[in-house]
Amino acid sequence: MSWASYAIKRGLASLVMLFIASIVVFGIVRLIPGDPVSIILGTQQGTAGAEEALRRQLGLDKPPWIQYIEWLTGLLTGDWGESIISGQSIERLVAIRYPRSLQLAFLGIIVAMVIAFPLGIAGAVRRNTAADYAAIVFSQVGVSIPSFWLGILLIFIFGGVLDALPPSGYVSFNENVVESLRYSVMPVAVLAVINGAIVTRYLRSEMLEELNKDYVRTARAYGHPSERIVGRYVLKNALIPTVTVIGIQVGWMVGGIVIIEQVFDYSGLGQLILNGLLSRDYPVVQIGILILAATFIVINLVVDLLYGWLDPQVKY
Amino acid sequence: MAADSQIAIDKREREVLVTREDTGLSRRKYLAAVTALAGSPMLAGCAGDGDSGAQTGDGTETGDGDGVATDTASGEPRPGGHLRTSLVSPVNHFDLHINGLMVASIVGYQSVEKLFEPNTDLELVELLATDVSISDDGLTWDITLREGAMFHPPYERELVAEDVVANFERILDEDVGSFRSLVLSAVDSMEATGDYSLRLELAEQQASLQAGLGGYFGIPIFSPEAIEEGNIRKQPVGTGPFVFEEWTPEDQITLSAYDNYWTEDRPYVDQVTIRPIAEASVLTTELTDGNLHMLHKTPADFKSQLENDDSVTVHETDGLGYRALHVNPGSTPTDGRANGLPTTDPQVRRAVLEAVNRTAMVEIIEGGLGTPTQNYFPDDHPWHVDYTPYTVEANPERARELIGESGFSEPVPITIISASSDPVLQQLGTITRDNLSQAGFEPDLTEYDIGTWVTEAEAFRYDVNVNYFAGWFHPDGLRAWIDPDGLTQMNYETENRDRIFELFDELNSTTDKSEADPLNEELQQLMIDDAAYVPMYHPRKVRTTRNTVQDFTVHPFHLAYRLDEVWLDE
Repeated sequence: MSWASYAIKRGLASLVMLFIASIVVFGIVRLIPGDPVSIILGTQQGTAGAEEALRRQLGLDKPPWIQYIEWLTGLLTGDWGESIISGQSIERLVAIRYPRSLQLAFLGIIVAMVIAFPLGIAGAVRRNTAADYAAIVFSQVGVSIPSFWLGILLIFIFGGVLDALPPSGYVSFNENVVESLRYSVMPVAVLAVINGAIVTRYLRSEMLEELNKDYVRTARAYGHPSERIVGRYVLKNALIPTVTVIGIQVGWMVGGIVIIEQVFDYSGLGQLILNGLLSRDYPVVQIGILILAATFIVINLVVDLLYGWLDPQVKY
Repeated sequence: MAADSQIAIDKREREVLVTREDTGLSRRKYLAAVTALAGSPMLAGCAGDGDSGAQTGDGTETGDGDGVATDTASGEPRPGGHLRTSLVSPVNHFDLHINGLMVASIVGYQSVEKLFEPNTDLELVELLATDVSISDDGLTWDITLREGAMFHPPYERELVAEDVVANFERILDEDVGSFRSLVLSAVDSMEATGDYSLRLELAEQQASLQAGLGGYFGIPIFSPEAIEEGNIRKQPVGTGPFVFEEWTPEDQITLSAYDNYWTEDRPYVDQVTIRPIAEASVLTTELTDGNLHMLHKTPADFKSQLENDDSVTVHETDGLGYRALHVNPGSTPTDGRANGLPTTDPQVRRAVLEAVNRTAMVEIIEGGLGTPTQNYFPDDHPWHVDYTPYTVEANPERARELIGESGFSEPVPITIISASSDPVLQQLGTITRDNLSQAGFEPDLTEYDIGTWVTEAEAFRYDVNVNYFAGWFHPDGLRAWIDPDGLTQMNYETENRDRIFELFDELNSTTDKSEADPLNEELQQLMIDDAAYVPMYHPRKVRTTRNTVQDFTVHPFHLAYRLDEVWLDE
């Protein structure tokens, strides 16, 4: 099967997965205790009739399966509806938040790779040297350090003491590229340290495993230059599990970095979903999680396709 | 530019020779042009309304910033500029008729106004209303409205009495379910008696009506067209100083100055941006870096750092609001309650209030910025009652004595609920639990997310709940908290209940303060003795501004954040 056929097959399977995910998400958010009507009316709610009226207005009085069909129909016809709390269009909310999360995730993983690849490779190839110790220390510190603490520390140093970078906020890439990058530097740095540490650790350990294999010894015996062995064979083989980790990290960064978004006041998709959950804003949570699921599916597909390039023995 | 050049100023006489009407310019453009033409030498000679040290009321200012603003400021408000401020939590929606969230009101009241509002001395003064006349029997209220108050675009028409009636009718609509309907609960009928006058006929006397219309429950007057079109949840349209331009939830809110605002010259700034920033260190850095002009709430841990910063001024005053404990006296429900419902016993409830350390709460939660209390009104408030039967700091021995008198044996099980996503509520819950565990109780604290906490609190599924409130302007407000027909914050089954509700009625039947005072005193003493709903402390209001922000006044009422009064000396 060619990679194109494989991609189409996976795409169709992904649609089924998304459909199943939509049912699961729809059900789970309604199982969480708490009621959006109570939240809209607040603790100062008035008459008993008010709850019923608002529930009717929001369509929450209908049986769940009718609510689901109406929501799914809207989703498929491009009408994602409104936030039941703020009344804002969900398309608008997602259009604002999703690009921010993608920008942060991709910049974060690129910088992480720029740090992790040289460190991981050098650490494995030159064991017990300064480069190796640097890789070990970086991966240990990066994994152990709490992201919010690192964020606050960066804000204190670069936003406060040095006044070199904006402490929080966001400027769109389309609006001003330079400013957008300036606002991204600190959150990206935090993400790069955390993810770079994980990737460094994986890559170093995978490289060490590959370097101890017979084919490397054989290649060396044949007199292949070390750079060629490492660059062409060892690294490529070590990348297969590493790419999987990178894929998972990107997916996580799109929706799971709420704490970093909170610290830097960088409202992305994760914060939208979290606040939606806290306020029982069902439509927002449902769409947000579906988008996250779709993002994971696409990233996994890309990772699977990369396997074939990295290892020609992989058959689709 | 051609229009601007029509403005001529005789700099020698310092008088504007051409009025705004002559130029045809908007008020804001006219003011900006006058200021530009007049130049700073004229302004520098003026005496200082913008004196940053001239805090009104009980407000004080601290920090090296004191005086700096006075030195640089001209004293004469200058129009223009973009004011950037912050809130510590995001707004959920702006339908203030049903939304009681304080941050929503703080922002919403920049665009939508009430008939009355409190001044810094906590007196109710006119806003959209200009006069109130009450009949001798207290049952007919004639309210005169301000002329020239214009609704914002796209409606842009003058506010008339029919609009106020339309808003009141929406408040009273059971399907809308506004908590503010309590303010109008005594209203039997209402009608617009003219373009600028309306009459309210009451079924019974309600001396607290004006306080109600201007306080926390005060009724914001939206454009009826905006209500009709169903937009006020995301775009409030009223007659306030700022037009609500754009809102990206959890991100930022943009307001612009309303050219046709009824208070001449206000607002001074052209634009306002409000960002929710939760992290205290980020808030502080954004302010000291100059990315924000004002902090609505100053993080207690950073107050001393800000006081030592030359570029900012810390403003503070005693607050009207309070943090409180609800100790459930009701016998239903039993879910979520400790076995035997110990808090139905008044001695157990009093033991709870003896066990908690109010001073520690102030220190830990507010960084010392607050006043421990047992009273609903702060010391200098006209309705304050000086009655403090419980120990301010924890008295575990006394708590144990009271438990012994109740007949329950130690340790008394007790359930506490709080909200994990709200730092104040969370810390109130934790401190209460720790205090109770040292005073003969076996507390079980459950921290819910805010949504579940609201649901649990409404269902009274707790023995002790924690809460806070912006404060009252009349003791009748307390009725709302405990009345089963009101906000139903608790199932108020206590021994003093009937007498307390009689006192509410008696208080409402007199506008004579000397007559009301003994009634108020008895009412509050009985409520404090009931130990079912008792304040812990009044937090101080601490706001911080950059020195370029002029004429800012910190207000004891949490919801009063008057951005139309400030101007930027930049």
